[in-house]
Amino acid sequence: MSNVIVCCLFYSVLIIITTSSTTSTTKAPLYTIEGQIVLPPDENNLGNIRILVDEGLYIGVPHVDGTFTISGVPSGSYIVSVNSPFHIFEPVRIDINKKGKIRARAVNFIEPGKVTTKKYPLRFEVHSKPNYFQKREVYRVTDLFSNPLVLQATLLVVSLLLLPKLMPQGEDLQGALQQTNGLFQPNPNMPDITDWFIRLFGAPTRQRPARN
Amino acid sequence: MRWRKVFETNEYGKIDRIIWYDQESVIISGQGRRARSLRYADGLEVWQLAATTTNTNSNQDTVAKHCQVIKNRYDPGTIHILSDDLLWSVSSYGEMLWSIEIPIKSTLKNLFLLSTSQYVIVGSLDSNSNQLQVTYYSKQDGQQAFSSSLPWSFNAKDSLNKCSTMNNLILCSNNDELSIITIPTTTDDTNVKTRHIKASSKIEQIRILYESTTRSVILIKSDNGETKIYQFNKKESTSEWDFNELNIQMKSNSFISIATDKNLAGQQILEASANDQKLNFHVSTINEQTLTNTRSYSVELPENMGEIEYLAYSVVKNTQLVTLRMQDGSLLVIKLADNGAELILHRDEALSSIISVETFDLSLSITQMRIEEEFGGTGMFSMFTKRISSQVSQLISFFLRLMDLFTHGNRNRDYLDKQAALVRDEFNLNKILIVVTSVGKVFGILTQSGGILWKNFFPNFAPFEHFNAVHVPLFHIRSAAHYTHEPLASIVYRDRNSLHDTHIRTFNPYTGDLENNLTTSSLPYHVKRVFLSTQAVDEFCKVLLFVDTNNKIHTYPPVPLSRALSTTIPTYIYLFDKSEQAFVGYYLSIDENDQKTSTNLKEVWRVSFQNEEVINIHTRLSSDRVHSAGIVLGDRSVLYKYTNPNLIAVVTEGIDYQKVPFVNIYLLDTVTGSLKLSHTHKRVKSPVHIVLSENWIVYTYYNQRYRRYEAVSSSLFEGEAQYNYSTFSSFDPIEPVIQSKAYILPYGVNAIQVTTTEKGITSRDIIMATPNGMLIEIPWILFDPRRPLDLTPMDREEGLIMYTPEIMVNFESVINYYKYVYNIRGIHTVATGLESTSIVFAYGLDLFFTRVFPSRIFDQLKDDFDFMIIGWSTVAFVVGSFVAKRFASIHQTKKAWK
Repeated sequence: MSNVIVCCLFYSVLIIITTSSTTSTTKAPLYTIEGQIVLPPDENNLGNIRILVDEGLYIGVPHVDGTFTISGVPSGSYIVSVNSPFHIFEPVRIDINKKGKIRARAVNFIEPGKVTTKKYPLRFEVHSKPNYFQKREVYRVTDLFSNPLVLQATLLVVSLLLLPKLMPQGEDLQGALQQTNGLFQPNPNMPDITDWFIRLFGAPTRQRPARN
Repeated sequence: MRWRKVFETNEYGKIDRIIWYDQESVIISGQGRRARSLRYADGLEVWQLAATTTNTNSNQDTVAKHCQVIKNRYDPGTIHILSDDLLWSVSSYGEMLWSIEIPIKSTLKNLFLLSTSQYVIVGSLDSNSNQLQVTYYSKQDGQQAFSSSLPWSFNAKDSLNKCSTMNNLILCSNNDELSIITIPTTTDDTNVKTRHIKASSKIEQIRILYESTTRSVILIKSDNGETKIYQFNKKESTSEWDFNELNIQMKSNSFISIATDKNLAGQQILEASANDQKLNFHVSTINEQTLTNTRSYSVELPENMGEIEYLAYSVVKNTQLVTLRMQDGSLLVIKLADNGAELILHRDEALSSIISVETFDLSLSITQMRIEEEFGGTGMFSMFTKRISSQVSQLISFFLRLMDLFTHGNRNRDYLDKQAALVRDEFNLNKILIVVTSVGKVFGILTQSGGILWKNFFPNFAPFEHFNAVHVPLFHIRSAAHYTHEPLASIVYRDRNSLHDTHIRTFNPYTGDLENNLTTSSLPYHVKRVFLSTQAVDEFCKVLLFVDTNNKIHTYPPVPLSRALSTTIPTYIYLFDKSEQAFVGYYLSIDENDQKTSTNLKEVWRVSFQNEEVINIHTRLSSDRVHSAGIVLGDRSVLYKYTNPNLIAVVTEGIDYQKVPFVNIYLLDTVTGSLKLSHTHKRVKSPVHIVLSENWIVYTYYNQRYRRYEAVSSSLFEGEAQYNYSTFSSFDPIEPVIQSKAYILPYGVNAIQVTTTEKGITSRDIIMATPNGMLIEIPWILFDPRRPLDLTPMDREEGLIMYTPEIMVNFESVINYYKYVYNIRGIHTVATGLESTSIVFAYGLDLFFTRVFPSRIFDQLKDDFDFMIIGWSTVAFVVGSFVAKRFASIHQTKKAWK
């Protein structure tokens, strides 16, 4: 049995040699990439999934059970990525050698020489789900309390209210407090906008009582 | 639409034939190299098969590959495919029955594929002995059974163009004669019979309308417009056919399709012809030699769609359906019923072949126009009256609007909305997109809704060639800024039939109405290049300037060159000479008093490329604005940008002496012809996508050595000091300092573009379309060539990010979310009235439109801004302050009384 196969092989090699000698073209065998996409059972929508080999050099369509075949691929190194708007799959690099042996490894753009082998036939599982949207900021009362600035402000207010109560009612301190209070009093030299308006329109029949 | 599958954009995805079955269809693509079966229900694949070997051609074969696909008439579940030298059979269940290779030579070409119940027959032309070799292969296993040969008078190309196959017949037209060659189907009878049909003049086309194992119908079209239909009937128990002419009178431009249905008594023949905006149909039943039961239908088309390009007539469950593809790319489905024909589907498939895009601002509203008018006029008195009258009219219109609102309410809301759609909004966000498609249809599209405002079809349209792509110049002749005059746009295209003739069409972008004064079909010169004048001439219109093949410059409409171009700033023009692979710069000298409308160009520089081929050039967007002349560094010094507006990027390709392919990128100054930047990349594959803006360039390519997509970013700087702070001149002796960095991209690139804003203050983002369907917005800061390898505090102060080779893409920066768009060919960006906002329009197979905010929304309120809270809190504060004032005064008086 094996003899026959060897014989056949030899014969076909002969044919290839003879044909290539007569024509200027040479024959290159083509191979098939196989794999499977595994989706979570509740969202079995394969309709918008595409399998891209080298960013669209070959494009595959999944079968009903999630498996896919991409046939007619010559030997070489390719990146197989599964492309879906609702799922993220990790791409895989596959190397098909001249004899048609297929080896799969993880994609590493930064160190292309580094090899992390993966299983073949390929198996794509959902890595994560893409998040296209930023969460809209919503106004919530709890946010207000967690804000450090608000916390700081409340602490200040509390201390402002509490401190005078805690302080001893000493004469000198009272005086000092009076002075600080003076800081918040409006500056008498500063022109008041109401005064300016009154002067401009000359409205008041009622005279403002003079200040003491 | 239920589902859609997008195949490869390359040769492998090109569909050769689709064979329809009950549950699924078998699609043969890649010139007969792949067969796949897709289910009708959900579009999922059932099986896929491909040829097991391929030819790797050592010498570039110029003759295109030839492929024939037939369904075996005697065994409908079997499909035979002949692809150049490969003959294979698949069953509709996805089983590869057999595959054999037929040796071919330059003198031996496989041309015809026929099938019988027992054999698959290949007709191959031996051009040495002028014989057609007919080889019989067993249908079961592909074993060669026997072969014969017959004399053949056509060459390979003619055989393909003039011959068709049908059952076991080969039909060839030879001038006014149609030869019918009967290929014997069994091994017993080997003589080939040839019969002839005479036509009245030269036969242009043979079309097979219907084919079955016992009957066939063909159509013969002569160049004098005569069309004849022949019916073929198989003789009993032989492989020979009888034929007779059907008695039918037809118009010269009509199309024919035949439908059969089990329920129908015979076959129905449909004759369709397009006449301006009308489609006429005649449906008849074929009855022996005559047609009976002729019924006529006609359907008014919504617009001019040109001639019919494809017609299919089918009867589905007693419904007569006609599917048409028109010359303008429209897909039509028309239902024929007793009460007349009805157009049930119309899709503008032309929109998937956009080649040029321009945007126009919408017109000002009447009130906005009045405000503009208010400040017009000369002299004190007229200005005053104008102002008063316009303000009075504003007041009146305001009251009228109020009245209208109270009396009519919401009744004419729709109408008002429609009117409002064509009026410019407050921030000039909504615009009109003018798109030109490769079939010659021009569309006006409203950006806010994506609705098509108008369409114009130019039947004799052919685009210009522009390096390796097609291109149609589309210009703003008059912008929307001149509210008293309607805006105008012009397109320039070649004639489909005589490529040296140039047409100019000028139209109003709001309505699509042609402006006949500025529309012509005859220019007395052959156009090499066309561009727009820098100055408006009459009525704010710019003119077109043409460079002809004798390097002479002309204006259209003819006006003196001194009026079209500035006489103070010298004009330089560059042209590309394809035969010499050289860019040539010309100087145009214009005398102010000169009234000439055309003049010769003087050559001033020449840059030629040896051993490399220019594959593309890229110019910056005309709307590109540079806001700041420099970058403030961390130490408070300024690094000045080299912002040369005359730069173009040139991409060349070649193979060096070590047989290594390379790609070169140059920045060429088109005024002086000097090269400001040159980069060489070895083992790199095009296409190279380029963005050129301000003082920087970003381009992407595929690195074959590391098998990844990469981007290179370069910036040009004048240095610490600026040579001339007021104006830039290409003649200034500035040697720009170049900084470059390369980055790795996570995906491939279909197209890239940079965002455009009105003043250029907003930071730039790069919009990238990827083959997997995403449109990604990446901040330019990530591509910044000044990203340091180790971050110093000074760099941090400047806002630089540390260099990492990989550009990470966050899914939040995908601007089309999960609405993936495929095969994008170009991206168009436009500024809006808001500095923060840029408009993005991506086109290709799919269209996508959105607004992006590269520096976030800094000049407008958020969508969810709560006006109520702000309003009520303001009111509360006002009220509160009054109350507080009252209390304070009471408090004061009380204090005073103490």
